[in-house]
Amino acid sequence: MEDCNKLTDNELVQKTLDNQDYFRCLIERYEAKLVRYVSRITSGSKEDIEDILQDIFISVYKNLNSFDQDLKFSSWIYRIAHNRVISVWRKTKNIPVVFKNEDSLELFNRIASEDDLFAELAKKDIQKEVKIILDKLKREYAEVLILKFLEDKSYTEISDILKKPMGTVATLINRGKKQFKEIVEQEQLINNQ
Amino acid sequence: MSDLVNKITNKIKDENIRPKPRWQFLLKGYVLWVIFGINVLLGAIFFVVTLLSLRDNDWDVYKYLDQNFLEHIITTMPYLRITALALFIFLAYYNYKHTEKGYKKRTRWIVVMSLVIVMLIGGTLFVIGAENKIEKLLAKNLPYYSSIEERKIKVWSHPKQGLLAGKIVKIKSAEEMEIVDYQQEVWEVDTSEAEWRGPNNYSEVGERVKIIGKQEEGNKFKAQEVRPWEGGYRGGHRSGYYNRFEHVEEYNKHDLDDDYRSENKMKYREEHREEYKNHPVNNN
Repeated sequence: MEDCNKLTDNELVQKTLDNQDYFRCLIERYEAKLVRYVSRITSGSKEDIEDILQDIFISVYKNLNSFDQDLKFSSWIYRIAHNRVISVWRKTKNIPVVFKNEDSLELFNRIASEDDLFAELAKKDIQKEVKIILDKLKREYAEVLILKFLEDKSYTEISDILKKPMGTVATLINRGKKQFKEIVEQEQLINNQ
Repeated sequence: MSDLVNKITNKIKDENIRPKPRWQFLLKGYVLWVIFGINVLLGAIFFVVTLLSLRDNDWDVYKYLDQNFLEHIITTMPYLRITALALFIFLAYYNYKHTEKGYKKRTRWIVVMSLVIVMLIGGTLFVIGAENKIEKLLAKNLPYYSSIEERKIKVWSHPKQGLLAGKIVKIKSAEEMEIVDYQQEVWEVDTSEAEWRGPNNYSEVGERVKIIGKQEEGNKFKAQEVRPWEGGYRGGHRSGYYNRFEHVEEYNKHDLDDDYRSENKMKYREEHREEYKNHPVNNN
């Protein structure tokens, strides 16, 4: 087997289709990223996350021939991961997006760096409440905010992952920020400062 | 999670999991596009018959039916056709959305694009004159399909209210003709003061007409306006020569003989072309 580190994602896909053993390389390359991503968009034990990861990679392997080389492989694999989590959530109906403390702060600070009103909020020391606020966001807004500000995906990548037009992605991000501000006002966090 | 890689690769080997063949994904893609095409085509068909229905609707006859204009619109709108058109536009949108790259376009773009394609195809069918054939095909093959023809017959079968329609069976003179209506009643129609709608001022035995006028005693009807059966207010597109004067007797001999008429129609027309053109009735 060739050294996987020298191969691009697309090359690895082709190699895997010829030789199953190359699939290890793809798993190793994406395991950590997908663990982190799945943990961000669902709650559950370490074992639950691992089961979901296993399902994701099996699904990736089975559908390798459907991978469109016009797409980034990372977007495609994230799409499968996202869809897998949604289908698990539909079955159990009890997996909301629950932000971890460090994630919620990082998300808030990243938004504040590009949004003036969020920057104002950042000055008012509402960091403690950020996680509570983010946990109240509608799932579809939380998903795009995670992809944009925590997973550092571009609008095109988010569009490919969630299979939504880019305009819709931008709208969801704006609505997510808007809902965040509304929750802050509802909770009277500004007035209490 | 370091043993996750082994778990996954072992599972793939143990269960002999294989990637699905590429042709399955290609087939799915083609099927979606074919279904999209079918929905667009069906949308175009219902677009054509909607246009036909609107064109052939006599928007002005509401006055004779004790309706106001709004009531007439409500009662004559082609709801089934418009609903079917909307349904196929929606199905086309739904199919497109599920194609490989369909998600990249916004809903309104897909709907507008589908509508434009439907209108282009439907418009072309309409312009080449396929609308009546399509309407007849649908009326013949679709259960519960209320044809434009049936609707028109209903509207124009109110002689007491001044609306009469039927087939010309005899031309008695320049000012009188006999028609059989859709209830198989024979009517004597006085056309001495009638205005003829349509591109040509003529009638022929065997043609169907719509007449606005007044019922007189018995089965006599005084016409104010005569329109060709096909088409709406302005009348349909027709060609032909006025033949009520010179060849009434000739035609009346064979007024129900379609073979004779079709065989000799062109011959009479060519022989008497100048007479028809110059006749006072045709030049009023």
